[in-house]
Amino acid sequence: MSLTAEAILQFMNDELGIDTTGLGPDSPLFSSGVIDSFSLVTLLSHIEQTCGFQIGPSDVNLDNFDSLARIIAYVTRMTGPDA
Amino acid sequence: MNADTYEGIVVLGVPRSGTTLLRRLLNAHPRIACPPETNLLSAAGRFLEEHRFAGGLSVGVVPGLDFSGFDEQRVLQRFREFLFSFWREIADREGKARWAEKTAVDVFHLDAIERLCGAHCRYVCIVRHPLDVVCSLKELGDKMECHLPEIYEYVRRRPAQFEAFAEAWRDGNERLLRFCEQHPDWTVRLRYEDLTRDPEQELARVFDFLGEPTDVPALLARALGKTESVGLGDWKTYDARSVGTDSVGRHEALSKWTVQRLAPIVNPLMTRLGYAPVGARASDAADEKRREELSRRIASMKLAAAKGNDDAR
Repeated sequence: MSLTAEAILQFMNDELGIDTTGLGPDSPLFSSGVIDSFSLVTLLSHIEQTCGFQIGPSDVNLDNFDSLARIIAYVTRMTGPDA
Repeated sequence: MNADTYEGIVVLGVPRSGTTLLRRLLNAHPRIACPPETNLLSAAGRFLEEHRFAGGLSVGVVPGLDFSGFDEQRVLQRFREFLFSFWREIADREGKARWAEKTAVDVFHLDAIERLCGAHCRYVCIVRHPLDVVCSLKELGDKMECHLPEIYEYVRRRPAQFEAFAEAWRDGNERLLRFCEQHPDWTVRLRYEDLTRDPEQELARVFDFLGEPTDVPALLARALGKTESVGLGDWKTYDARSVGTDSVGRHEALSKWTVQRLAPIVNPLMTRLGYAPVGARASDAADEKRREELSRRIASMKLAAAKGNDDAR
């Protein structure tokens, strides 16, 4: 299943109660405190369930999950561009 | 059903279950006047609220007036006449024999409505798939930039909006179902999905129950075709020119995660209302274990983030 930056923002807004106003594709999410540890667990679970793969232990890092662009890039690598 | 044995009709359903559509359809009946939301019954519910204190003491209008010699039946009778007088006048004005009342939040005041209206009315009860209702309540809240007071009570207790809406759906429909089961002679129940799929059949069933059979195809042709007093209610139904299933299944846009969280809230009642349960978690234990694993990884990531912030200073 595809996952877009818009869908992630919607999830953050609706399910995690995060104010996503002004967040751009490269805005830091975790390192800036926009998203906290608890919410990130929920977001990663959502990504796994929506995209149908399991995030590898060494993949849980800032390079893959600290911005919308990085998340989308990671998901695309894991599922292929047409998934 | 003998049409002479009751006076008015009350539409009941959790908000966003199709009550406004039903109102427009009832209002197209040549003998039934169903005006835009009057809020009379929900206000009556608040008027009759009582608060219990220690020792079984109750404070409210009915126990208060009882001290001055007005017993409960007398109070209710006088209040009923006051309320009914508005609807009688509306029906008179339209040259119709019977009135119907629909206000979306009435289902949350059903105890008071039962006391006040009881056998004087018949009740058309509509239910809708819970996930479609929660999507629609979310849309309504966004559009209004606030929640209906009765819904806000749930949102206040549950920061996760969809879960709050699901609880409102569950509580409203549990009460509605109990009312239907206790009063089968007063109530007719229908599902929004059936009404939109086959309005002719469903409306014929409703009007037969009400003792007001009519030419349903003709009613449908005129129901949504005319400009009418809008009032408050579903803004979308006022744009509709025919009864359709466009709003059925809108919950398919919800994430699997959300559906899994709502499932325990809505599933027990769904089967009783004739809906297939929605996807519950395949394995709660496995899911919790996975979340723990992710938490540990995220803790490591947090350390890396803190180190990066320190280095940056």
